Amino acid sequence: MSQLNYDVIVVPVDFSEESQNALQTSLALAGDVSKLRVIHVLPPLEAISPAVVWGDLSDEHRIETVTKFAEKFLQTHGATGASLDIRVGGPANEITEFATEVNADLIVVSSHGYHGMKRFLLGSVAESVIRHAECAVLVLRRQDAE
Amino acid sequence: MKFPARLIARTILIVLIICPVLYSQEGPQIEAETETPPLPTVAPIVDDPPPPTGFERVDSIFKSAVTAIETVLFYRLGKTEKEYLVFEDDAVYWRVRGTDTPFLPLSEDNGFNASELDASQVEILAAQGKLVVGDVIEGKEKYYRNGLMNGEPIEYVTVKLDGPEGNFKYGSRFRFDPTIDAYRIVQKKRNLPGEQIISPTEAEDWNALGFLKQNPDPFSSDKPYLFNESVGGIPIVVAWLAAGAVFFTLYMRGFNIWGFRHAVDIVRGKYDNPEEDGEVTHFQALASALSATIGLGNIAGVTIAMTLGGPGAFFWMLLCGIFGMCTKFTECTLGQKYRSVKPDGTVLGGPMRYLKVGLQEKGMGPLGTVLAIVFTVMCILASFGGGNMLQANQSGSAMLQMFQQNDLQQLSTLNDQIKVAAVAGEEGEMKSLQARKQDLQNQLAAFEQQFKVIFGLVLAFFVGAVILGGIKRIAAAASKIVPTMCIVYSAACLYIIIMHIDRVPGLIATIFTEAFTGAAMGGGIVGVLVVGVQRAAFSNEAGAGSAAIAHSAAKTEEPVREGCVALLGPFIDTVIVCSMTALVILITGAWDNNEWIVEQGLEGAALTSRAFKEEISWFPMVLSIAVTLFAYSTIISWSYYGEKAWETIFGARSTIIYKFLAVICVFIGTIVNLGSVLDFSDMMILGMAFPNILGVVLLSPSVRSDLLKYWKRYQAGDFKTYR
Repeated sequence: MSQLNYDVIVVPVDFSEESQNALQTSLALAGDVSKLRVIHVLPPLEAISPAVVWGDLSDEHRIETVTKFAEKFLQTHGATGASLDIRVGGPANEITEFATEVNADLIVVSSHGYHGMKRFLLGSVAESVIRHAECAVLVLRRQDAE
Repeated sequence: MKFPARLIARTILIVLIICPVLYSQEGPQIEAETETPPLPTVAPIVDDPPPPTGFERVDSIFKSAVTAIETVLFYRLGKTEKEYLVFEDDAVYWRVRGTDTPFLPLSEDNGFNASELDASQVEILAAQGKLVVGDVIEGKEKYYRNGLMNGEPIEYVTVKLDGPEGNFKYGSRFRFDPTIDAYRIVQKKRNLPGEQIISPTEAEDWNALGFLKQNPDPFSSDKPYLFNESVGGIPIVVAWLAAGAVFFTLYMRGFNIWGFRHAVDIVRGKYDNPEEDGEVTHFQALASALSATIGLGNIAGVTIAMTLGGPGAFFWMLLCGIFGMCTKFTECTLGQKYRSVKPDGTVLGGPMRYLKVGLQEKGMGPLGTVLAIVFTVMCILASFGGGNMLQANQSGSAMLQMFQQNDLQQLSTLNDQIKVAAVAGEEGEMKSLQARKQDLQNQLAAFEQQFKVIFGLVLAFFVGAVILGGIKRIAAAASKIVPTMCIVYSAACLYIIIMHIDRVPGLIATIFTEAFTGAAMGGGIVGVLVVGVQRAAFSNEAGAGSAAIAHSAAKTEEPVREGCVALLGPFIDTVIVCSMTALVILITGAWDNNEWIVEQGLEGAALTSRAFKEEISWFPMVLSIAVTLFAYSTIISWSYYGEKAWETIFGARSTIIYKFLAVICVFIGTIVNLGSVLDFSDMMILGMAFPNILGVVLLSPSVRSDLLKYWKRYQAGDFKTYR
């Protein structure tokens, strides 16, 4: 694969073990951390949560907090200096839109490998990304998947 | 806000599956029992009711679930079985179905002096309440019921007859009293034993005359008129809640008393550090938790407790509120302790977390997982029912009553006039009054139907705007009205109390004396206690674990500190607000008012409203609005609990399905009276207490040691203050 030229690789992370794997695989593929565009998608803030009804929690504050967390995450997994973007919305949608915006050559996603009820209710982000992405998509199987 | 198309498609699929069940008209007919004992000489009438509507069928499905759960949750420890019989002497008149001919007697010597009944006579009897309620045929309530005689379709009316000497009425219940070896009448109000007594031989005679209701499932072959009921005893769930509250209070060494002042300081913001993890301040967390509990329980619950159990029931409610403070303290401390803070700073906490993670730490992982799952499922169901449909239903009724107030008043005046005319024997007058009453009733029914659909849509819209549409301002505005409404309500209560201040000491004394001497539901002190504890649990939800979800969002790194705040919840809800209602109910005498309770059939919120009207004529209007706003904020708060529970099981991204279902529930809850569905979901709130209290008891040693350590640091002045 390495003979192909990937200048911009989008790596969605949700801080799970699977997304660590995705991060490391993309690093190996790119060979250079500056080619990575890491994205984390936050779910929209619930209008019924006490923080919104009674308090003043905002998306800006959440983005600020999660950025700090994500920077530490990148550092721990050897990706210090990778560009980081935080979006708010549905994950599959935001990931593909982001990839188009940055003219990505490849998206590296991890699959959680859900089965049964969870899969029916959650669907698969990876599946949706494959269907809507305008670039190549590399899906990593969960390491303990059957 | 964007929704993933596939999730929407799935939700629509689920809705499409549910809707036909609700609306389809086909289905097996439910066989009804014959209420009229067949007389040997004439052909018997078999009931032939119209097919149940879709909603009735859904309701009947839930009914069996309710019965099943009831036998477990409300299994009465130490109950006694009592035999009783029901006086049901009647006269049956019938005609061929679909004709306009007069109704003819089923047997000649029926104890009612009329050789036939024409339409207007039937209407008058119905107006006097002397007919067994008819069927609802094609959405219209009829005076008659459909039946089959020799397989032929007929219509029939059943005239209720009074006791042989006119000293008791049709439907009176007589319970066996072993001390006098006879049956003693049970009074309608509070089920107290009355004076009327009949001997076993008299009962036999009555049965031979066809005066007694027959048991469809008789347990005694020679006495098919005997029924069995359980009296007294403590429902298992009530015992569980009460035992939990007493345990936590003793184990935490009465922290509800000595920690009270510190709790108030925390809520005032003395220790609020904006830098700590969490979403809201201590005050905001408390307000959020309170908005889920303050509402119907405070307005209707107290009144229900006192009409069933007398003033003494309130004493036990109060006590349960005070002891419940320590239950709340323990569960909310655990909620904080085991919450998970997500990377974006938001938190997920509550029983579903501490049962699982906390018990795992203690080496009881499998038990913890089971308890957490049971709790979570019950919490989701409770959020659809008690926290949603029940609220929508009750607020809809309260608003309807407000709009129909004048018509209802007129209706009750007409009823009185009809009674007067009937006594005076003015048949012409009666007929014209009856016609007016009929018109009015039709108008009321038509208005009710339209109103409920509109109210349901409006309420569902406002709930949907917040939970689906994410419009933050509506929820924020509505919730902030709750404290104001609470103050308005308390002010009105205080006004009434002050106007009658001279009677207050005596009434308070009554509460205390009746708590130990009162006879509720024929069950003595235990009966009074059970009623009080049950209503308090419904009102402040201590032990249910729901508040721990809201309290875990507070910004603090000291779990005990948030626990302190939480203990104020039952105090404000039960000790302050419920006491206000209780005193108003006592001052106005509403709890023991024959006219309101027995004749007008008022109960719960309607009775509270009537009591207020006596003192402040315009207040029922404010009360209706308050009930609606309380209901709205309760729906919002409970939807949050339900959503968090859903998220725990199904993951965050599927909560959109939960939200759709919640909005649909608001609408359904308003437009239909799904009695059993509401009972079912109400039970879920109490049911949550089983897994929760068990887990909290197992985890309480760590809370106790945390508390003692915290208190040492507090006394040593280790905590930085910010205000």
